[in-house]
Amino acid sequence: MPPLFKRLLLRNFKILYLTSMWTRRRFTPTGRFLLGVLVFAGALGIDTRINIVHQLFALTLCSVLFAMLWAPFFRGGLRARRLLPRYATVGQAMAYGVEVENPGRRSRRGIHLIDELAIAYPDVDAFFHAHEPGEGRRNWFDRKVGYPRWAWMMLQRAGALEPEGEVGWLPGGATERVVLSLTPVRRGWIDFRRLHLLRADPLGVFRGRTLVNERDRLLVLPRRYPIAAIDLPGGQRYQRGGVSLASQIGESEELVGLRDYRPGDPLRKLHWKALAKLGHPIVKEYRDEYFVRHGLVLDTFCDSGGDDFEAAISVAASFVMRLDTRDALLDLLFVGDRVHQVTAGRHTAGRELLLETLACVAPSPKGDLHLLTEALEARARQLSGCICILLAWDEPRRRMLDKLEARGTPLLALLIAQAAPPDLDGRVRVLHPRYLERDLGRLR
Amino acid sequence: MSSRIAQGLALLAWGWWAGFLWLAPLLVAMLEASHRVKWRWDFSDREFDRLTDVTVFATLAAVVYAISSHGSHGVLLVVTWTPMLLFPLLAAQRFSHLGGVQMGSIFLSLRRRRRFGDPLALRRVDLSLPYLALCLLAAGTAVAELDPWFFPVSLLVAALALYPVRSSAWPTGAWVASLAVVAMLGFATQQGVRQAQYNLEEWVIYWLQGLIGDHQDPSELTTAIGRIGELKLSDRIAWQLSPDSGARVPELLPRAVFRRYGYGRWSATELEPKPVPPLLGDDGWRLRGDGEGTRSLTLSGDLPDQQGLLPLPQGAASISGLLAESVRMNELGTLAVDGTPEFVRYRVAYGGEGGYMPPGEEDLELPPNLEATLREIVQRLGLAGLSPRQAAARLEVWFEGEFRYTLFRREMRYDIPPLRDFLLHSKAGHCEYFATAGVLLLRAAGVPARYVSGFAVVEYSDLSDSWLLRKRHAHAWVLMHGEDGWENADFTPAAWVDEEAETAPWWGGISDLWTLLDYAMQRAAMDREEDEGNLLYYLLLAVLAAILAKRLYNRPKRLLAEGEADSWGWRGGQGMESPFLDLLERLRARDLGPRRGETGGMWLERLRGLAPQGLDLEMMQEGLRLHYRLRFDPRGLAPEERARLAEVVRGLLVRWRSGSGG
Repeated sequence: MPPLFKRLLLRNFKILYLTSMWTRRRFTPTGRFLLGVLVFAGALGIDTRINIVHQLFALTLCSVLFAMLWAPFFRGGLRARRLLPRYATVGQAMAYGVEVENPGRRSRRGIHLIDELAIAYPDVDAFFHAHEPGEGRRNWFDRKVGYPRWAWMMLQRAGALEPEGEVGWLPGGATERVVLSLTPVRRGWIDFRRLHLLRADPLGVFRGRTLVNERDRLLVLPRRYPIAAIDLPGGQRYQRGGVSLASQIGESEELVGLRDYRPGDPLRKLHWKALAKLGHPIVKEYRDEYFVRHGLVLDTFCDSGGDDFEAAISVAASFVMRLDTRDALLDLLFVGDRVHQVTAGRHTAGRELLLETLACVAPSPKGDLHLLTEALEARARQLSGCICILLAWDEPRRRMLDKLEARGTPLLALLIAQAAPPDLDGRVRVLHPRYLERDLGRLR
Repeated sequence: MSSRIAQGLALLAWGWWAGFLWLAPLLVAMLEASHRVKWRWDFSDREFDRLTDVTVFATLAAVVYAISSHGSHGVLLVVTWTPMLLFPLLAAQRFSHLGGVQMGSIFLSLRRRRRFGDPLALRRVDLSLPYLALCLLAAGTAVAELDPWFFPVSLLVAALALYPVRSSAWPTGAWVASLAVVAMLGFATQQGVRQAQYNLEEWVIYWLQGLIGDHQDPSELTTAIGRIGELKLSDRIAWQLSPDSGARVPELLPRAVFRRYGYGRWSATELEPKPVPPLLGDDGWRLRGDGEGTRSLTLSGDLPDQQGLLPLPQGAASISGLLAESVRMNELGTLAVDGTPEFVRYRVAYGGEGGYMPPGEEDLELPPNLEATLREIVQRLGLAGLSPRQAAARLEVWFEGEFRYTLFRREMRYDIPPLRDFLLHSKAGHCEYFATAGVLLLRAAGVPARYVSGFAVVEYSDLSDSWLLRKRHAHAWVLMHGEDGWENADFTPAAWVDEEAETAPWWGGISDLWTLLDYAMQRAAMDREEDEGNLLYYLLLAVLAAILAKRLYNRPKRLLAEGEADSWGWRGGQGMESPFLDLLERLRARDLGPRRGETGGMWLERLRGLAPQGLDLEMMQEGLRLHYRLRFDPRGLAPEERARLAEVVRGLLVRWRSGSGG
């Protein structure tokens, strides 16, 4: 397809999408129904000599146009603000509140509320390289023209269908809390753009609108599944940096002595009494520690985020929830633009940090597995055990596991695949991306 | 309740206008029964898929049948049937516990998307309102003439259907006033739309006439040179001709005869067609004499306008088997019919004594602007004084030798009349030029002649065992009065048939097959003895209905739980006489009623936050407690408690009215 045509197609999709959203917001379900009748009556009654469907056409047309005349008379004058929770989870309905205040003296009723989500429209490359799940099962026209893919991308980019609800009766000066429900369709941030407060005309066909610009963000965590109690072999390991890293985790908190402050020392190691006496900062030194530290390695090397990648994220998130970070540390390792390591444990960060990180992990199509292998080798001595979540099975991945084993790190290797590859090691277990709950429940 | 009335009324309106009044009350009763029965069938979405497939298949079959029997108008006919065709789907929804049909069941393209959790495919829709609109559309499609009742009935149905979904932001009075305004505007607009179409049509016709010239009139009693040339661009089969066993087919089949020529146009308007007397004791018409002929043939084809001119062999005596409201013929033998089906079939008896009207002065008329040219050619060819046949033979040789046949005249000149250009300069044209020139030259030589347009019978089809008359076989020739009366003379070079066959498109075979199949179906439909066929269908339907009824009867059913369809137990049952329900209804009208899933305690707590004027919440709490006991306590309320409930509700209503104006 020539580039100009692609751009034109996308432009038309955008116009079509905006029109459909405008229709969905401004017309009530009755109004949308009447629009459908209008189209059918127009088509069937185009020749007034052969039937009288044009009478229905005229009646419907006048209903719609008359209803639209009322819209400018709705001035609104209402205030609204969202009350969002901290997190939501993919695929799970989440309720949140919107407080609508009527500062005027006149009571209001029949107010409809729509919460608009912000969308970044895709460019030509993003659109033509995207693949809607199950697109192959669509009909020829839909596959070639691609509007369903566009609609799917819009939903993915918004993160959820626009929540809406009814405010009901709102006396003058009163505030009403409306509970809206939202079901995220993907992980990551959902951006709330503005609130639409709408009131229908007397016939209940078209809505007048007032907008409240209220921007908010909500982080959607990956889907998580229960995991059977797993027993990772491996005991406590010596941790360089000791309790400064782990604080209360580990065997003890044995003070070795005091020394002068060096840039980079944490404030909580300051010996305040010595500071008061000497007038310059002195810090406490502890004995290095031995404690349990697990590695959670996430394979991000794939071209685009598909079902398998999302399944891998979900598996990682499920382990984050399962592993106890009160008495152990958990390192999440993955490759983005570089190797990232995020550690959770008491006095470092809670597992929320890991989940937040996982919520925002993107695939790394140009990443180098060698970097990850090197990073793991460097940390292998510290790790009591390591969980590797793999997206494919090939020689570099086999070598990565070999190197970890060679350093004596106990391993739990999981491969996300619909079927086990023929050359798969006995040490790797396969998880089907569609039956994660079942497969994770069987892990021992 | 009002939506139920609207539904019933819409179905009855459809029954009335679409001619299904025997069926509509039955359908209404079935829908109404769904509100009465206390059970629902345990249908699955898969079963809805299958039912939708059957419905779609039945609709497609109806479309094929309707188009094959009624042409393009069949589409509108199917629209009038849709309430009947789609009723099983609505009935299944009404009697199912699901309460709606998934979009994935309705649209095949979405069905496969359900597996991927596509919210659109999984969305469940209630078909009641679309079905109601369909009934009105179908009724409107069935009514051809303006009916003074259609608009008010549609308005009433719409009002009843839309009343429950009106905006709660406005009082009912505003809704009524708005509806009244819309009704007035709608009435004026529908008249405007009608008028606009008339105006537009007039304007388009005026504009087109200016653009392409006035080539023909609807009665087809005039024709302009070029008319047949247009027809020749189409390969479509126009008529199918089957001679009776052993009979020879005529080579030329006239459709219209003309005798006045001027300014490129032939006409016979001076001869008004007169009604043809019907044959006694037969479904036919006598065209001449006693109606007896020596040979016969059968013609079948489309008359999409249900009127037009019929092709007849020369010397046609009578026609039979034709369904027509009126059959008229002028003295030149042109037969015009009106009020026929879109597909006609008729048998023509022809041959024997008698024929066209004897020659008159008009058959020797020459157009003044061409007279000199024609006489000069007659003199040059030495036609004067020859017998009609000799003159025709000499003319034929002249045309064959000096002229050539062409369908497209590229080198046309506009500064001289087209016929003079044909005779003197271009010497190329199609049959209309040859026929017109032939008629006028014969007349100039003193031979009475007429111009005939019709079909050349040149293509035999083994597939259908009949002769095919395609539009490109449309032809024009000369009828001259010779020694033995009127005779055909064709001056068009014989190569025209082959030349035009070459213009046939490659897909012609497929199109032919379709047309022949269509004709065969039409004839079969005409031949079928209706009563016998219908009885068989009714028997088959009765057996199928019995099987369906048995299967439905044996299906597991699910009893409706108390108030399943609504929160707060609005349906029938214990305590429905509670006066508290009346209060609830009034509060609901002001958006103060309990919401779906909200317990009584939560509701009262919310009301406390709103502090609505005139509502005593302490009394409400007491009333609600008594109402709950009346509704759900198996022992019910003691008489004094009932009295207390009524008193509390009365008090609440009085305060509410005085406090809120409600």
